Amino acid sequence: MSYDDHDDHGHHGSWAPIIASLGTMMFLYGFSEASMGITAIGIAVLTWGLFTWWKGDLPFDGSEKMGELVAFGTPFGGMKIRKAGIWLFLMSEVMIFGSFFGAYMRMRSNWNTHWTLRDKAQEAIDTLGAEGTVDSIVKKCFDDHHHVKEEACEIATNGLVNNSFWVAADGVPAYHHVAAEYITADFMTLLPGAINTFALILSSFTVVLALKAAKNTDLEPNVRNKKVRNYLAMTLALGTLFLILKLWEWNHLIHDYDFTISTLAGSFFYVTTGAHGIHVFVGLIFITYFIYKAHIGGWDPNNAQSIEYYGLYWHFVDLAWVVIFPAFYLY
Amino acid sequence: MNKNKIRVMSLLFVIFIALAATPQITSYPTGLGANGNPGCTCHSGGAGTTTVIVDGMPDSFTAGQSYELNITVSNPSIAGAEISSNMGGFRLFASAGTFSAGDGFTDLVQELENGMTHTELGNDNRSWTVIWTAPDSEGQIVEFTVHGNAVNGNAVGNSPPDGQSGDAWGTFETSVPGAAALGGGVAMIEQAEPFEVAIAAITFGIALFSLMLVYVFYRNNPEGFNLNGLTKWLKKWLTTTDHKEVGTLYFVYSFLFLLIGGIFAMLFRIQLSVANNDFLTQDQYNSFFTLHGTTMIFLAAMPMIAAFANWIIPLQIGAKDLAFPRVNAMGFWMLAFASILLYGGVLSGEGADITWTMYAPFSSSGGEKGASAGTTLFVAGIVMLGISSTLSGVNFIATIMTMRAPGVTWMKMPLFTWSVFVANAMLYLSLPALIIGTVYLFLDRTIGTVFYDAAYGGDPILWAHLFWFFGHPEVYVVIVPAFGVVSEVLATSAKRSIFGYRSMVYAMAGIGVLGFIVWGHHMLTSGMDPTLRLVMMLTTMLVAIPTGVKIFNWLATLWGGSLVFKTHTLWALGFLVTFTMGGISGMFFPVAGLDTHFHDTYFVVAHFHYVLVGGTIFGMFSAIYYWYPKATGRKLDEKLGLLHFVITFVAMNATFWPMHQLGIEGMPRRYHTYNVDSWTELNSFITISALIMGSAQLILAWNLVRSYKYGEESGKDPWGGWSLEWTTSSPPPTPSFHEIPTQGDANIHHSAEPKGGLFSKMWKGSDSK
Ligand code: HEM
Ligand SMILES: [Cu+2]
Repeated sequence: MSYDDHDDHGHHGSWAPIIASLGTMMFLYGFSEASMGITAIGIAVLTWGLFTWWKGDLPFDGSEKMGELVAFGTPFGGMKIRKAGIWLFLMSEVMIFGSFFGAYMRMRSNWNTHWTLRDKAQEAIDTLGAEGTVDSIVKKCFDDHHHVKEEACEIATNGLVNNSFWVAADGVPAYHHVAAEYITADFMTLLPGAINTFALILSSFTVVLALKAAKNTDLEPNVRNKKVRNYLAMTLALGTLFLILKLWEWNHLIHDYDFTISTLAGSFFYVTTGAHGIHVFVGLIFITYFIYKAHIGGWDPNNAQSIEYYGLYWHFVDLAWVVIFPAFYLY
Repeated sequence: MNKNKIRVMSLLFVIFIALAATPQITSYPTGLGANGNPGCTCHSGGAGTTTVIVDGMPDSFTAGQSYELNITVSNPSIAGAEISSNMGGFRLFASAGTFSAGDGFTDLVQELENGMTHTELGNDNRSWTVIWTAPDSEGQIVEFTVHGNAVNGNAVGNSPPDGQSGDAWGTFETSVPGAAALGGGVAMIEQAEPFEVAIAAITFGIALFSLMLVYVFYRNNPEGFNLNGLTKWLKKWLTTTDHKEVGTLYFVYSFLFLLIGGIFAMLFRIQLSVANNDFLTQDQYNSFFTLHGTTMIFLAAMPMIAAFANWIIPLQIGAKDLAFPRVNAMGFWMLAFASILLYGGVLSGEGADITWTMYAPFSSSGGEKGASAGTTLFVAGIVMLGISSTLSGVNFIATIMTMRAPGVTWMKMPLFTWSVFVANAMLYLSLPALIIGTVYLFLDRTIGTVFYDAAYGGDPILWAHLFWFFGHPEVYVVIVPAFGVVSEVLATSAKRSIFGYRSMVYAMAGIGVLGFIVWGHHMLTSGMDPTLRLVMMLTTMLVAIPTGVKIFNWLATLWGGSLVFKTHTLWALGFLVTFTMGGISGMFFPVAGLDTHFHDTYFVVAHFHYVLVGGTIFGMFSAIYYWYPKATGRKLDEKLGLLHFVITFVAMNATFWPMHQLGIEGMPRRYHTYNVDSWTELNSFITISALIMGSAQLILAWNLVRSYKYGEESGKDPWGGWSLEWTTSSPPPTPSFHEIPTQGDANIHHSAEPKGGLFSKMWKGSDSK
């Protein structure tokens, strides 16, 4: 997220960008080389960079002049520039989750394999002498998810076409067990995901309450900050609950069902929900800082918009989950 | 030492270490290791004293014939030179042909992949006989590698875990050409070890670059030439968030990489200059052209565009800076550090060899048949580039949307600003597909996911879709800003406002939208759904319409104006010629039937170099000559500029035009050599032209350096431009405007200019309204 106070008071540099970039590089380097040491140093350096960034925005006591620029011209005229920035950033996030989703749906719909499959059915007719048309063979041998119906297929083709014929075909998928099969089969596995959905929606609501409190001019500063702190703390708690339950559920899937990252459906499941989890985690880091700021009495109606921008991000993360949950847990 | 000095110095130290170490690094998905096996010490003696002799090698081989080879390994420093159980054996590999045991040696030697080695029993021998049967085609050169005293060579297998413990004293390599490869009278270029050339070039480059830094610092202020001053000066550049300074960083960076990418190109052009050449090995060739493509697009073209966008956009729209200056600086540094990852392993022969398109499943697998080890780092570097471009994309769009000064309305915005807006919108909406695709790839290579592994039902074509969903918009990301530059330059040089401003804007926006629904034209031969193929074919052809609109508008601008021929004008005119030719060759591909023939041939190479060099690079060169005075207050030398243009334009066409013919004749791209002698002639011509074109860029480098001090003073508005960047001083102050300016009207500005040039005389009716 781009939390950037626009320095209106002339030009001064910042160490944050170069340090944070160095940290990112070291992290990726360490990860590639499977070197925990370098990876850890990378994360430390990255954190150092972000702290440097925030330190540029000190002090938090409300005396700082944020000097936020206001947009002019269409379409954002009158809006604070940072808000426009967040919206634009969220557009690219939409594309990020869109890509996760598109790739996943491609796997689930076997879009790519459908016509390969017909090709292969033709081959069964031509080379193995199977009887029937392409359509009838595909229909007899596959269910709606293009999974081979082994027995039915062998019987229908008088034993000419067996499972290994299909599996040997490039692009015809072996049967994948998707996460939903395990999750929906067992209430205890479904439960954490279901609780998580409500936890996130609720946490979005508490962010709104925090914003409302921060903008309330009728409140005494210390009362206001206390309210903001409490609401944000609720969000933090709910977000943490989300992550804990998620890890618990992963653990369950891996150990009790042997549903691991080295199956295709597992790769999609863990990487997509993991990426979402990282978004939640990043959100929690920001909110910790916000709570600290409330703790030292830093919020007032003039800088409350930061909570609003944060809320935009948090709602987005929430929304992404509302799409991921049915697609990965139920379908 | 004060804090600054420590910070600057330690950062610099880390960067230099990284720079020096990077190209030699090998990365295995599972661990860190240096390439080149140091060997174990279990055979006393060692490298220097082991002698390996292979008897019976022919000077050239005849197809299918068998040759008896005698391998003898001796080492006088092994105690007593007697037969002992730890004398080690041998391994012999050949790049083609087959092996079998020699007479009486069936129990003493055994086969391994592409070669022979001793058996447990044969370990005590000091010499062995094997039979090598030559391959069926004589038009090739077979490479032999022999290891003497190869410990565990007999544990059949070639990769570190199963067998090769790394001991291979007395390794040597040789090659045997087939009779036909000799007979054709092939000229062999004298061997130079390309790695050494590359190491020398890069070390030289870094040294030169550091010297240059120190020199520039010295020239800036000769009095303050001391360590304190230096760290302060460096601190300014390392921490700057000012859009002009970040722009300068981008520019220097991109120019450096333009030269590095060029060096790679010249090295592999030498390899391709004659048939059956072996100047580069296959691995070197593969990683050199991978880095060439990636460097040119991501580290040269895009940063150069970002350099001008940084410098010019705020000036053109009358803003004091970009919307988020620190995010902007972060975008640059992410890019800078990403290049370190991209170059991992090049010099140890383990550089990424997956081409800029990084196709799975080759790129997602490792080991013998997969991509080399440096690929993991490379992919990590691409992820970082994605972060960098997303940051700067959001920033530019936010700036253009929210910070335009009064008078700079959407329909009066200078076209360069429009073009950067469209390009960044395309970029940051398409990048996520690449980021996700490369993250999948990265995870496949590191933690064992199976997104692209067909053995587990994974889907390599998914990669192609994700890549090209980004990849096609990407080619417009690099060309659209060049459209913008050419529009500015031609209008200013013709002393009139651009013809058909509105249609220009709509054309760019149209390209921006269409660009998202044509990606499949890169995959027509990939085996994707035929229905989708048809759709992509039709949408691709549609793109030609807005592109054509732009070309005709430029021509009409020239027609109604009175043209002055400055260097930037020449580049813009050159752009019109070469870019149009590239567009025409592009129209052959979307026809799926034709593409089946053209795909992956040199015809494609010709096409995209016409649009990328003749389009993007020419456009950027035009921008350099046009805006250099704004950035430095001095003009570039016009005489040197003319020389640079003429040589580059001619050499560019000489380099890329013959590639069309080679492509039609079927010469494949991405092959490290070819054995059709009749292609040698054109290829040598191409190589020579390429060398000329590459060297001509030194003229530009010299011009940039020289004119900084000695160029003619330019004043505010040397070319008669109308947009806001010409209303502030050159170089502009910081922040770039003290007061927010108001933009006037292009037509009114230009109607005040003197008239009567070449073109308006030709076309009497013109009054350039
Ligand atoms: C009229 C406009 C254009 C059309 C119809 C077009 C069409 C195509 C097609 C169909 C291919 C795939 C050929 C194949 O691999 O078989 C291709 C390749 C390519 N085009 Fe274009 N193109 C156009 C303009 C451009 C522009 C403006 C650029 C960049 C500035 C560009 C850059 C490229 C590149 C880099 C490749 C090669 C990608 C690779 O590595 O495989 N093209 N073009
Ligand atoms: Cu394309």
